[in-house]
Amino acid sequence: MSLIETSLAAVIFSGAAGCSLQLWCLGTAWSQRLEQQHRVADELEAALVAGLAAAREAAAGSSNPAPSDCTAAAEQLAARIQAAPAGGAVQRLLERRGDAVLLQVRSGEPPLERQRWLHPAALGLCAAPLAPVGGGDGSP
Amino acid sequence: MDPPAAGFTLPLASGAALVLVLGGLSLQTAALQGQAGLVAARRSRGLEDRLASGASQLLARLVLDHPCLLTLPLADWPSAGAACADASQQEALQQQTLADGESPAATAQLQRWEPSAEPLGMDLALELREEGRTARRPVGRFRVWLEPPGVAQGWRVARLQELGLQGGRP
Repeated sequence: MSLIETSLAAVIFSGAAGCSLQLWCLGTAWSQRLEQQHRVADELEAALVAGLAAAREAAAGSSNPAPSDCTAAAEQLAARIQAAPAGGAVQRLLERRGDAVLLQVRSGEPPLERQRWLHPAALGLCAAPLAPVGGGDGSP
Repeated sequence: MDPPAAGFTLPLASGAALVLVLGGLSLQTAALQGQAGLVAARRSRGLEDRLASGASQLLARLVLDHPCLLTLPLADWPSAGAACADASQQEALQQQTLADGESPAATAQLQRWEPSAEPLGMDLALELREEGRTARRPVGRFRVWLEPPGVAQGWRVARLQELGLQGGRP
């Protein structure tokens, strides 16, 4: 076994070991980040589902006949969702635009977001009076 | 003890080096695949959210502005539905611009609106058409249960159920 062969083997092995160590470190860091993103995405999903469940509960307990004022119904819907508990690290935002409510859930790190537009009329919280009303597009 | 045969060290070191590098690379590959899966899942959830918002918007318009279309299959809208929505209104309903403020801008194309097997149930399918995207458009499927008009109110939505998303994978 010559000195040259031993030296060359040592160089190859140490180079590969260094390279492998870096790859493992990087891979482990990515895996941890992925795990965190999965966890946060699940928390966002849970918070969104909780908000939607509160909206459905509001719909289930709505008056009969349904009111024709969808703006007031949107206000009540937003209040009902606001009263439902949100997830720990998840920020829940509610914004009213006309007859619609925007439900947003956000996380801080990593910054992820989900959002849904909820219309009281689509939840049965309000309905048109029997006499048809023309015009108006009902959009948010 | 005899010294190792000449030429043994270098192949051994090369083999060990290869194993180490391949191990590191396989971990990297697994992490990259996980990242790609996560991105796809995030996009899929975003599409579901947009389509559900679109379905909510469409139902609100139908209930409030065009209730006679609620129980009519989509194929009958041009004829029987003309009484409560003219052609341009029907076109706007069938190609709704999503007012969700998200990017890219999108329209929800009404693909299906017809009675389901259940009483007072309607099947709804919406295709999301995002600006600049022509292939593999996602379709959201929903089921809507309606409540018939009462003494003081018109048609009302009893329940809206999401049945899932088809297509839209990158």
